[in-house]
Amino acid sequence: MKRASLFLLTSLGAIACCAQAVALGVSSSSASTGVNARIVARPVGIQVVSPLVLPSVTASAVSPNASFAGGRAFGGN
Amino acid sequence: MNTLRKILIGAGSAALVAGLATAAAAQSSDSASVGINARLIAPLTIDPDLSLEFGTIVAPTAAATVTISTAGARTASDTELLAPGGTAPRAGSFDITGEANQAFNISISAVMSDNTFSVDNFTASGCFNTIIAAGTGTGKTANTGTGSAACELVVGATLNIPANPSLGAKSGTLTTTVDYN
Repeated sequence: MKRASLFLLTSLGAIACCAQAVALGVSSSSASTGVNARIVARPVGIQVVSPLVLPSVTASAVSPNASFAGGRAFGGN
Repeated sequence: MNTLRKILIGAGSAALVAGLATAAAAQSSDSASVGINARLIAPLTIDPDLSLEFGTIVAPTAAATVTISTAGARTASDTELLAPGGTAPRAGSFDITGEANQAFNISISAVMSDNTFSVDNFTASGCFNTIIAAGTGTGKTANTGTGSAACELVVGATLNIPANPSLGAKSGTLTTTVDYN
């Protein structure tokens, strides 16, 4: 009778031990940290308001004999 | 003669009853033993280390993404969205301690305060070197020896940005859960 009781107690101990192991197995831990971003406006950049129109200049060869009004010709006497 | 026969039969019956009683007594005293074993391991803990920083981003006119790798490299669906300034981009990280070489599960999720933004496609390195699918995976602490061991879990992710978002600082929470299951 004493042996039977001892066996029963031993069995209960083993069951309790397994239950403890399972309890440890399901434990979990969690932690959180931040997530950050900064959203900024798109840069405008350089915009062309209106095309720049330059006067056209036509270059031409100057004749040595050409003369300015009221002056002397280049290279002449 | 009849008297002698009765005496013999009675003696035989008594012997049989005694034998049965002896056999019954032997069975009731039998016993056996088995071992009892348990292995106690270090508890699994996780603590936050560095925040996940996506840096400064130009507001896109169409939905876009910015990704931070576990190495801290930043890429985007449109490279013109990446602007300098502010906090330098980097991966997030956690410090994990637990039993050496004991497998555990990892689950990663993130929520942004501005719900028009979201964070997904988590990647991780440190405690292990495989890409996490759908924010989950498995890991191990240091592979050497027995007893408590530590590792640093580094987490990368993708920030999903809506078209023409509101400007300013955007913040959220990156959460990692570990368990031995």
